[in-house]
Amino acid sequence: MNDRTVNKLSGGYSCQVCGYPELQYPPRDSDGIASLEICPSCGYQPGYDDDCLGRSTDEARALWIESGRKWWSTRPRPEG
Amino acid sequence: MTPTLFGFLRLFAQLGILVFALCPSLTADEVHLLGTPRLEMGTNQIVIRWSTDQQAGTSVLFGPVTERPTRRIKGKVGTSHAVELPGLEPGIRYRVILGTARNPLQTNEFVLPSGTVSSPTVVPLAVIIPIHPAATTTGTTSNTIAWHSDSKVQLAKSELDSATASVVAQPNAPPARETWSHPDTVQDHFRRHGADFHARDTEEYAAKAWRFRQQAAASGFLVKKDKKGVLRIYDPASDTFGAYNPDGATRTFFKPGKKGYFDHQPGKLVKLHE
Ligand SMILES: [Zn+2]
Repeated sequence: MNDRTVNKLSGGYSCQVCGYPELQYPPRDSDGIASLEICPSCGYQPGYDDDCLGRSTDEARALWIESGRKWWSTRPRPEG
Repeated sequence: MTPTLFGFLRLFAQLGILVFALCPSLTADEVHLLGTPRLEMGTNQIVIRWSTDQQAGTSVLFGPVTERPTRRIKGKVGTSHAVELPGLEPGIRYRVILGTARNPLQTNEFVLPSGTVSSPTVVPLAVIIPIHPAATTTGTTSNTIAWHSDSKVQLAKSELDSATASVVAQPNAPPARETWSHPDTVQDHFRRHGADFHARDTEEYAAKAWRFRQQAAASGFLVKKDKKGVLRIYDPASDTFGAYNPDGATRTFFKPGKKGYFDHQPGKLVKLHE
């Protein structure tokens, strides 16, 4: 478990790009292993965006902010 | 066989492979390929082997790609199929269509290397390029051949772009809600990676991921297991990667498009049992 990404309120893990607090897995665990989980908020997928596309979390965050912090997934956005 | 010769053969097997005619009318009898057909090169014979998910006849049609294939060999009814392809010459590109007695299942192309084969070699025919089935109208066009009295196959052009290759995935798969880890997330993975596999919707995408896992052992895909029991499976021939939880549920499925991606994946290489 990667404590840095645990969200104390939601019990989920926080996205390292947008801060979405309800990921199922830590984006990278204590061994640095990527979750491969896609963040529904910004669309970032650790283990793919960084390892395959060379897109760092900083770059992805800048893009996400530039695009107006839009909700990425077609799943409904949680309230709050 | 020397490493150079093996590399040469692999290259041609990967680049030159073609076709499966995805046609409901042709697949109505629900016989599907299991795993990846293999070309076995012995010191003095070439054998193509494949498996089906149920008992079916064995039939192969082959010949140089420059001609319509005319040499047909039939074999026994069963689930494991093997046909020796006699009279092949090195340096010539051949097309081989394998199937049941009634229907073609897959077409591949290959080139045998020049030089002496000093030890038996197995080449998985892992990548295919789907084509449209032959129209069911009467008559035979120049690139259409009859397989059975009520089924035909349309020959694809040789040397199709390997970039459009996709994994053969035919066994019936359970619905995505049963195969995907956190099923509500499958649409996100489909949105990002569905196009890699020409999947039309989340169900087709999830089914291909499930089949990839099912085919892994028989097809000899590379498999790593990490400390948490997550399996990461990779097929170098089609550049296909899938990650699966210990309970078998799919975490993700995509084409990395990055050389060495799997080498950097965590876990130890393991062998799956069929
Ligand atoms: Zn995010």
